[in-house]
Amino acid sequence: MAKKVMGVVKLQISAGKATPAPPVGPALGQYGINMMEFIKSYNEKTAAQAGTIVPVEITIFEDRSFTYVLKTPPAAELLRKAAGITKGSGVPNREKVANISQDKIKEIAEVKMADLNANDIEGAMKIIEGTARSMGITVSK
Amino acid sequence: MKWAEIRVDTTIQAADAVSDAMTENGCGGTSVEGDSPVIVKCYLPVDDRLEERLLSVKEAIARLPEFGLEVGTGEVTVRHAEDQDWAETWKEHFHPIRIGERFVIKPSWEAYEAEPGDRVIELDPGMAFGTGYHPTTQLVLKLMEKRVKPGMTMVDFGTGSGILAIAAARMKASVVVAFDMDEVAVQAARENVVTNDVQEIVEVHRAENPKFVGMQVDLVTANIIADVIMAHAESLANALRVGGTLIASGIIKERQLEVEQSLRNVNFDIVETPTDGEWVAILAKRAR
Repeated sequence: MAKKVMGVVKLQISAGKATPAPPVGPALGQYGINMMEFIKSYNEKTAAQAGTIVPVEITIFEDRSFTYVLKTPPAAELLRKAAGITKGSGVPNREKVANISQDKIKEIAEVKMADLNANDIEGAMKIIEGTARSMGITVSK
Repeated sequence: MKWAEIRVDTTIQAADAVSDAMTENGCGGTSVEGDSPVIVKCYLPVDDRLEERLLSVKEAIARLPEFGLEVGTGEVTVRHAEDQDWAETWKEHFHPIRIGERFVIKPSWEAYEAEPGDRVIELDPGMAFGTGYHPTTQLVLKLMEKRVKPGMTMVDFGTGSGILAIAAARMKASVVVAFDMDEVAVQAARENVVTNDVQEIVEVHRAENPKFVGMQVDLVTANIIADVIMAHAESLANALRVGGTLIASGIIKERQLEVEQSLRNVNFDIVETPTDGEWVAILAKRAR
């Protein structure tokens, strides 16, 4: 299995519900890979997580074959789950929809550390906390 | 349906928040490209709610710095994208191709009228390397065309889609044993073997580090990469009978001499080194 990489595509899409419509279609279409094979496989693998976003990183080889790995859910998804809400606030500066603890922020920061390009856990926590507040979730110290 | 492509230049730190602002406002998912800057893209249908949704996305992004998130330029650009049949358009990249004198690789959805003597391999591109569209695979197929004789036995190390194993079966090899360390490749190869009706000849196994002791086959193919070939040079020699042939491919020219030396170290004689662009294949004989 030779590996000559042509490109890498990262998608944040709903588990079990990938379709050839955007964003999957244009993102993968530009590389000319067997889109239906990806869609079928992704939907099968993520069916059990339906209702959440399961990011996926697809590596495309020079002969237009591909492989992919599923990634940890986006920070916003983990925050919604931790806060027990299905939707963030549309006006987060005025309307707060939930509150979570600093410990939860730390837990999520640990999960997302590798994806965040943060220097240390404090840096990662700052980003997760900012993401929480941008969704109208307050953080208790 | 017409689509509006919304593109935001941002940072890794803000990518999830940007992505969330998009999905909260009606995007059915996002794509995230690059590291610095990160480009987050999503698509919204062009309808009477577009302006309102766009405004809402822009406002959400503009607010992110208030919450301590570094958004970079945060520039939002919108362009219109024509709808396409995405599920089908990728197929435009794949048509039957002729490789060497007689091999023809044909995707399942294309009709192909075989000429007398054609060796047709039906192969749908998918999740394993080896569609026949890459020079490294083509180099091996061309060498096989000259070397494979009816009744030969073969090991295909790093089989990927199984293309080389199937090609050997098409040339009337008697037994082909294919290996890959990747379960996805093993599955893909097994399916392709059945599609091409060569399951009586080709068997596919998953193995991380096969030693091949006592196999004594006539031909070994290894279309992988230089490092893997060098790391397994001794195993590849073990698989062959004395006088047997190794075809190693997936080697960029800069690594050619290194790979040749590692093969000589395990008693291979280098016979032929055809090239295609930056790629080289090495045909070697096991001397003793």
